[in-house]
Amino acid sequence: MSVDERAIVEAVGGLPLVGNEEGLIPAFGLYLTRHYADYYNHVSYAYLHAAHQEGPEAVAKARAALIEAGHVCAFNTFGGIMLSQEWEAVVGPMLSGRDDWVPGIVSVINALGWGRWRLEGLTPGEELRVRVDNSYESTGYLETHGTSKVGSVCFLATGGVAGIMNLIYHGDILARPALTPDYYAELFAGTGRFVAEEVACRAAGAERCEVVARRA
Amino acid sequence: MSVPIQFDAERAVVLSGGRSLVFHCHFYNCALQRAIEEGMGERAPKVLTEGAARAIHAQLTGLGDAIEDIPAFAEAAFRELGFGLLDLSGVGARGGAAKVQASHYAMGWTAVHGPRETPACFFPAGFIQGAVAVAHGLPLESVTVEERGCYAAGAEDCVFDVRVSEGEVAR
Repeated sequence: MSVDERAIVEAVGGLPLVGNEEGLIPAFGLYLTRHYADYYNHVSYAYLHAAHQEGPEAVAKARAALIEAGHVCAFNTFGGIMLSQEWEAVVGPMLSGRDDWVPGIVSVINALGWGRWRLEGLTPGEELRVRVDNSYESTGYLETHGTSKVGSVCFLATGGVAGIMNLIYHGDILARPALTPDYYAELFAGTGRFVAEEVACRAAGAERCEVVARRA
Repeated sequence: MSVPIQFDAERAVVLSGGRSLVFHCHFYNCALQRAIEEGMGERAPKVLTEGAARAIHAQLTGLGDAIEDIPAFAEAAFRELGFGLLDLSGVGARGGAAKVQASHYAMGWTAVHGPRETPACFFPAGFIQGAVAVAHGLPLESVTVEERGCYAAGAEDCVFDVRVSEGEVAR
């Protein structure tokens, strides 16, 4: 059975992900928020632009820190989703092997409001290429700042694509590991890990955003 | 849900008042805040608060006449979107005090990084600033919000002083 993105998006979109009596959304072993893209974009690009005033070293540090936040997101959110009962019930029956986990999680991402992710290419264990036609990061950047003079800006997506490969091919999310700080360090700081690069970005003039993850 | 939301499945975007809403968890929210605080130092609180104030201001402005009672809507939105329980009953056009119980940011920070010495709720502070400004027809910059007690720094709840600049109060 192949992965049915439409069915997954419909199922995830139908989950009651709304604040409870405490105003919290506990789901997938996390606390979710349905947050403002404007907020993320404002704070991320204020940091990026401030770094550009300071010089190349500050820029490298800022870009690495913003992508690292994306790694944290991928590890905990994608990892939490892939370990959840909802995944097992909705996505699980569509998966016939490890490689299907990639389109499975990309389908779930398309229910998160991040813009449409499309799987452009997967070489199992080696490379993942994802296209995003309307990432909330590039959309927000263009709306507020116009065409980027500071390069690519989709840091969350960059960290996210690396995270998918690290969870599925560097680590082994299929073995249901505990998502501990030690496991995070093993997946995102150890040898053989995947790192991603945004090779095209709408905010910087490309037709669409494209992120590629390969082993470091 | 009282927050109007439109999901465009083809584009995979969710809009409210014409502004984009996206799911993210407390790990990411705290990681991003930490990156900004560590990277921007003393400039970080202003950037984090301003980002929140502008975001809620844009959403409320976009929703326009669809909202009759802005403080009630802001409290409902804060809860429904997963940020905790916001109480704006002590805030009027001249300012006052707001409270947040079960703050996503304060509890999230404590869970991920442990307690901190300074308040953690920059997003809630900005959210309150934006909501109060729109509710009372005030310029965004005339409202300032300071968190004087934060769960992440040892307080029971998160409490915010809301001030309106004297020129606006006199009008």
